Amino acid sequence: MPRPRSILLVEDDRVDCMTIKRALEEVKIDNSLDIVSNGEEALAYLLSSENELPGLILLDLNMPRMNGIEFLKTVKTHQGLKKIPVVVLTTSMADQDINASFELGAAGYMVKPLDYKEFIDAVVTIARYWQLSEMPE
Amino acid sequence: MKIYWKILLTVLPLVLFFLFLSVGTTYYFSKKALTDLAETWLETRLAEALKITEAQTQLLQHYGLESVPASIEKAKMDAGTAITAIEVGELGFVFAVSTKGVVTLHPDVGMVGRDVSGEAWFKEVFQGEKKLVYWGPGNTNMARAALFEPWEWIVLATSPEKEIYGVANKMKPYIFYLAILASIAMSIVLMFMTRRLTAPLISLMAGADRIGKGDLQTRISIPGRDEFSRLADVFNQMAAQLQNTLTTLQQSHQELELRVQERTAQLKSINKELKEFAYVVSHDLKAPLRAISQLTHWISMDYAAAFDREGREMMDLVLKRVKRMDGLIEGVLSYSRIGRIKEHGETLDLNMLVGELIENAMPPPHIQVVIEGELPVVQRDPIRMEQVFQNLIDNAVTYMDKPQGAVKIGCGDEETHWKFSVSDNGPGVDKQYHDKIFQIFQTLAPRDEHESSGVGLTLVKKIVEQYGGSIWVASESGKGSTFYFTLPKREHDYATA
Repeated sequence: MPRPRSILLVEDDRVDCMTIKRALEEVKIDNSLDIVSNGEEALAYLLSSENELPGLILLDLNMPRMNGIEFLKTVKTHQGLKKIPVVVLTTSMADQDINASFELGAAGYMVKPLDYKEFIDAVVTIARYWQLSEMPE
Repeated sequence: MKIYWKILLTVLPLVLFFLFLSVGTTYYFSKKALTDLAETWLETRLAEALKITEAQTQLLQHYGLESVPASIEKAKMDAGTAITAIEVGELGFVFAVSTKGVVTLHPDVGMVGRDVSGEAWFKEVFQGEKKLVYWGPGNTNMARAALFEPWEWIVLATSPEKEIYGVANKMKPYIFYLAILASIAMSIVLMFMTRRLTAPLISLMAGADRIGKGDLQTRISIPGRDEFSRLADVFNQMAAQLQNTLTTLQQSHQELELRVQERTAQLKSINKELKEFAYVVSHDLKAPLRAISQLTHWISMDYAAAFDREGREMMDLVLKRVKRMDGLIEGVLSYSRIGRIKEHGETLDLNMLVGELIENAMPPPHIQVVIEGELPVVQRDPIRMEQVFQNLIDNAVTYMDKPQGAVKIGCGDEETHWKFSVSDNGPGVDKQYHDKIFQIFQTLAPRDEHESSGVGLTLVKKIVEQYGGSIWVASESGKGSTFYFTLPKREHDYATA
């Protein structure tokens, strides 16, 4: 297994951030987790030479300044960034969000469950999948 | 054109018939008059001739020579000369025949002495006929005859018909041509008159045709005060009234159209607002709820030691209420989403759909859920039909209070629509709540006994009504209940049984 790459979480809700963090710790997924709170910060993070490119981006849609859909649009047209898989993790069950996400090249779409245990299951499923999947260099 | 020909073909032959009849009658009577004239004329000439013979015989008697043959011959000769000199027109003449049939006297000397006893006319004359028409040499002659007994002569005054009818015969071609000319003139006049008569009809027809095709500006103008012009007036009034009515109708139609447009625009904006509302609800209301849920969960786990039994129970209640809140939000969301029903739907065998629903519901062993009879195959949105049956069956199973529960699903064919029923032997619904149970967030059982959002029946009602059906419940408290709903039949629906 290659050296685990970091996971970038783009999320403005503190509790959701805590949940994901807890979930990863709980199931012992020790990839480093970096958290930014909107699309603009995420872009700045990705474009900064200080940071290594993450192996997976977990993206919330409803965020201030630059929302998830706008972020996806930018990332997927960027030559250097478009190979990074982006999994949308959101509260929205609206058809237009699901369709827009996949049209823009999202690798997956998960609705955040209310129940903490279910939330953990969802996060684990995503993490495990991307641990098994081959990754582009 | 039809009426024109009808009138013409009726009147023209009649007119022509009377025309020819009058011409013929004129001709006939003029000929008859000529005949009478000729007869009188011949009579006069004959009388003249007889007078001469009479005079000669009287002369003989006067001188007592009536038995002297030579004197008689002399008298006959004298009479003959006088008689043959009598002129009857230009071609007529007087002649005499002996009773034996020998011509004794004739202007044409060559004829004297000829035996005519074989001629048909002679036989007639011999038998006493005084008036006769005979075929002479070359032409038809008319004659008057009289017997002069003393000399045994039959004296005849004759004239060829050619001469008698000369005038009439000359008239004949003129009358004929006149008749033809008159017929032609009459026909033309009649055609013209008929055309004049039918002209208003044709303009009426053309006008009515234009009105019929929607040109209500049309006015028919027929001068005069006859029935046609009255009819035209009536037509014009009718057209004017139609025009008024149409204008009014068009105005109200436009107003209606405008109103529909306004309403549609309003509805569109309301629909949009609702969508946005649903989006906001799903995002902004649920996010804090999830945070509360998770934080509560962590507190109860991380600080479990700090809570006593009562504290743990409270934390449990918080989590339950959060779940209920989530259910309510979810209910509102699914209710607002029904607005988008698929218009045409899919071919759906309800026997299969409901069968699968029953299987998936996994009712507890003491409750039997069965399909009674056959359900039809319908053309509807499967998700909506599933929601309807799911909610009704879930309710029946959830609230079942009997040790042996029975839930039956059935369908009746009501000609224009299907009538479905879901009946149970559960607690039943008291009559005063029959309307209330279909209202949103209304539940009859305490929520702590049966976790319910109170959206299910409201959802079912909305779906059924969107399909043009209706839903109602027949139930008495304690005796179970039957939910009925109807679904109008569509072209592709059919009964399976």
